[in-house]
Amino acid sequence: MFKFIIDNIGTIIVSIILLTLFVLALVKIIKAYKKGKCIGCSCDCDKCKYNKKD
Amino acid sequence: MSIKIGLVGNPNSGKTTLFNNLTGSMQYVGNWPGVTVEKKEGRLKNFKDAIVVDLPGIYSLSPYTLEEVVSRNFIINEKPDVIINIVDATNLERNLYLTTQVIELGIPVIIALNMIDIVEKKGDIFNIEKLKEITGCEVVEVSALKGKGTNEVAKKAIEVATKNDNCNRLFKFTDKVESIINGIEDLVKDTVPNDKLRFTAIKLLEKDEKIDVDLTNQTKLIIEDIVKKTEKDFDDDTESIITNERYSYIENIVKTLYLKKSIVKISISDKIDKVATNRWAAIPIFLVVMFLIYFLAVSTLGAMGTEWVNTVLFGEWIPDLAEKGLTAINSASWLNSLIIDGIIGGVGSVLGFLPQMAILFLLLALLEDVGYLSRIAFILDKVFRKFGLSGKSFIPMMIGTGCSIPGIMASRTIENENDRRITIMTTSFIPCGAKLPIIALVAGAMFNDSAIIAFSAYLLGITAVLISGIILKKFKAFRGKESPFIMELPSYHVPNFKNIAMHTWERIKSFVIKAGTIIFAAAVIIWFASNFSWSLRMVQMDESILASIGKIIQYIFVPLGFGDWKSAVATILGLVAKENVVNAFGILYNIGDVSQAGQEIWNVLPYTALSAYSFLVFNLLCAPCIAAIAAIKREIGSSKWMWITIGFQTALAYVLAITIYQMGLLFGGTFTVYTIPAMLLFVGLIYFIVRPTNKRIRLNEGVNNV
Amino acid sequence: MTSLNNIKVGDRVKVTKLEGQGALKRRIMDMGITKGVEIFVRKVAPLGDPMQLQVRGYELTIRKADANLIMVEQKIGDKYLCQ
Repeated sequence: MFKFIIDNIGTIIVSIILLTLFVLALVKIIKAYKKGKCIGCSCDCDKCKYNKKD
Repeated sequence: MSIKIGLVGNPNSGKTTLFNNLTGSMQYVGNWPGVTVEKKEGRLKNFKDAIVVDLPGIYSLSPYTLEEVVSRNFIINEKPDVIINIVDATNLERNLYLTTQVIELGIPVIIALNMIDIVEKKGDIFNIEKLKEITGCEVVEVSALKGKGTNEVAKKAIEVATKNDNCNRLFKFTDKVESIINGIEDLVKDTVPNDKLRFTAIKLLEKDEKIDVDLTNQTKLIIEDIVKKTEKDFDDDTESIITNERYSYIENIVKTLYLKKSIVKISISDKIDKVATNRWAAIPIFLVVMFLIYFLAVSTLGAMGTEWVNTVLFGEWIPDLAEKGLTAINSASWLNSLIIDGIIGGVGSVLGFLPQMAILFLLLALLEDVGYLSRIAFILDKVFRKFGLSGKSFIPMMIGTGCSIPGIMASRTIENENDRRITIMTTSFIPCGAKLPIIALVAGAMFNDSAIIAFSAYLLGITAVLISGIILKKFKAFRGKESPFIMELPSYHVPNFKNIAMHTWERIKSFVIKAGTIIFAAAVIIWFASNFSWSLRMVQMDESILASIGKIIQYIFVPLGFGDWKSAVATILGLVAKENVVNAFGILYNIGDVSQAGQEIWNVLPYTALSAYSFLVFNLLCAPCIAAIAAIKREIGSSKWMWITIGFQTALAYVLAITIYQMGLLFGGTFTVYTIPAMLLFVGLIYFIVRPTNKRIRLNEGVNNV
Repeated sequence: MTSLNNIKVGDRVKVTKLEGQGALKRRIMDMGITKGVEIFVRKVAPLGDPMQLQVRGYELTIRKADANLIMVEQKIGDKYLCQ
């Protein structure tokens, strides 16, 4: 089994990085929708802007 | 203990600019009334523990418009420690009218006298000491645009707030009215706190319905009597009596405050207006201006930028780099596919349009900053009214060219319920920033970056708005009295480039963040769902999860010319974010540079020019992204209306797209099994537009007297 | 006495009375159009409506239907004329 990990270490590391990024993105999206904010939409919604100060 | 500072003033008085200066934030400064529809908070720079609240611009504290009620309620209920009343020195009478009312609220007020540099430049003289004397308030000179005076205002505000000693001098009415007010004060002084006594009494005299006070029935009757008697004595309603007295008083004091030395010349603003709002040239000029914007953004400058980003950055550099990196670590092929075909392919294709979007945002921001857009509302009002909207509906729509969501929120400034509803239901027809990649994609891949195609998308949006206005107005649910249209026309501004740059940068940043989150997540999901089957094995795209779903949905779109599973899926994904349409294209058609015209594209994408345009039409007009739908629900107030809106928009999109496609085929000599149904649908649409309005409904709408 | 919507571009008038009631009347007054104020009719929109006025030193646009509620007398030379 260790051989498997070592052979594919590149793939595994990158996959974990991607997975983390993916989950982070999802979490950010869900949090934003819950607060009723638009997430990084190309707009100037009051909600987006002034919530940054929170 | 936190100090709370309220910022109050007329629209266009420089309030939000002052707010930005005080808090260091970057709130959007629009150049027409109605940009600030909610209060905004920020921390006062350089002071510990003080918050500044920017309230919507108001002309008075009457109970009629949403902005006034929001401001009023904030001051009464949240009891700020001090109010900064920003007064535009070039527009004294109307600004001071508000000041007389704000002082009555019992909270210490300091005046920030803005634009005094313009007054002095004209050669006029302003007597600040006199203003201090008359109002009893501290007066600080500021030039919000230049950033001058900000620190002084902040210091004074904190001083007054901590001293908590109100030297504001109340505005006194004529003796007769004063005694009446005093009489009412006596009647209610037991139930009303001392500092609110005068304000309450005046509001009761004005028959203000939103004032919050506990009265016994007996007291109410006595007050009613007083009001009736007053109205009889003065031969006018009490609201008008009070308002008249305020203005008379102000007229007199302004003479002592402001010495006009300058000769009245035609201002530059007026000279520009002679052309911009010229009877014959105005609308053509507007169309030319919008066309130029799309020309620069999509076709010329924008296209060059996009081409570089797509062919070089995302076509060579990044994929090459990624490939090298991945081979170096000996990664699995599925991972390579995920990263290169999926993430880079998808997110890259969306980011590829950034140059075009940036230029569009920049030009629109310039247009807004200069003040041209309030002129358009003025010009187009009559046109809009024929279509069931008002000039005020134009504002949300222009905001919508950036993003529909603030546009939908800006509809709050429309008092008339029906007009507001129609505006909310049609705002997202105007192509927003997120739809630009789709437009640029079609224009670029099929029509050689044509500016006309891009501009036609914008015209299409406006047409859809106008048609919808006509159609909806014929239903009883939307009929009602016409709303008044009274709007200030602020003077043209020399564009403030810092403002424009900041504004554009904010939008670009938002776009990139969106790409990094939603688009990224969606790209991963799309890649997965299009490369794996239900049994979670890697397969060819045609056998994937996404394909199986798409193949069921695709039939809906066959009559429209794009009945293949990839187009169907891309359209549906557009519901999450409109950029996803391009995201999906980038991954499903496996090209990183879909926006480039070129023979390869023609071979790969299964579209004709006609079907591509039909696809564009449908995606532009159908229901907007979830975030916008959520905004629609919030502003329109009910789920029922939200569904009606979605249904209406999608139906209109469908009918227009099918008509364009089938009629297009017909002109080319091709007759299909859908030709007749398409014609029927189109005739149905025409019917809804031209049918006569029920006479009974029309008679019920009286003359315009509110 | 005539109403504001009948006034030609370029004329100056003085407000004599305000018809109407409620929110619309209040709005008109809040914007500075009160009894006795002078109004200058600057122009009319390309399609004939709305009107652009100068009031108390600033520019205001108002629909003819709403201007109908504003009764005015015209200023000829230095005198005001009732029509």
